[in-house]
Amino acid sequence: MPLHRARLRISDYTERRKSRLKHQERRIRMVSLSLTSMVDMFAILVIFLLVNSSTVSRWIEVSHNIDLPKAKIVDPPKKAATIQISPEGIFSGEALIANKGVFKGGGEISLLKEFLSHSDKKEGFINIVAHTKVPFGLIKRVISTCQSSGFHDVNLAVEPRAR
Amino acid sequence: MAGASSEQGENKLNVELNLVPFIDLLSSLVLFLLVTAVWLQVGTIPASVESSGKALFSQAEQDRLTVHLNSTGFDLTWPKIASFNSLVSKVPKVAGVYSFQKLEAVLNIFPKTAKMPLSAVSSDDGVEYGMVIETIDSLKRSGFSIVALSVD
Repeated sequence: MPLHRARLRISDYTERRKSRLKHQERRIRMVSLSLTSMVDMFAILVIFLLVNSSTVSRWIEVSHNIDLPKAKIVDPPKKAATIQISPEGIFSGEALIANKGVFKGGGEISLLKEFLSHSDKKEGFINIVAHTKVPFGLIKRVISTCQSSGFHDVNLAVEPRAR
Repeated sequence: MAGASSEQGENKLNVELNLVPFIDLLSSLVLFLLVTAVWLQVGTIPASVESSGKALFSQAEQDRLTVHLNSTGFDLTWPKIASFNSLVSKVPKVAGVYSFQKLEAVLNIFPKTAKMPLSAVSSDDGVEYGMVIETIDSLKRSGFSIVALSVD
């Protein structure tokens, strides 16, 4: 004869066991998480980020602690070679073209001219990203150098200001 | 009928969507978008550059508005076509700061026509670049859509 384990019915449980079961049930109920609202929140976040993300701005790199001047009437940036002018020097991306020593003096900037001679002139224009506090005399020299190197049009990068 | 309906009732599936992988996907998307997002928006001002010997426009010097920034403020040269004798030719700094509000007030006196005259901005070497950009912006806001930048 096989041995059967005696099974208790709930009515057979002791009061202590009954209360323990109830407590366990209550605990389980408390843990259940409402995922629907979480999904809603994530979906809204995704939509917001998708709408606000723009790939256009990536074409113009702004680094080296450059604080852009602000303007209300602006055009969208165009893809072209970019030069950054910060108080520390002139850069192309992360590469230093000329340090701040060239800020003194006048005329075209020979180091920049040499750099531009190797740059792609397919677009015919150049983006200039300059710090707002840089003296305009330096910008004039950079623009003159760009023009003599074959970049006749210049786009000046600005931070759009709310109208 | 009763049998059929009970059968239909038995066939009903208790469909429950598994939201966990969906949340995983959305959270990865959020993370990706947050990392790749560009928070600093950049615009450009196309500068029509004029340099010595390279006049950008065929329009004669006297037919256009020129704004020159110097250490004392703005110097304005109005086009001869404007028959306004009372147009201001100088907007001085206010408490040592360029007053763009005053400049715009002066520029707005100029009558808005379908064909606005060309304008050019020039500056002394020591003036901050940001001030020049703001001057170009003020001109554009006042209706002078074509602004040349003089680098002589």
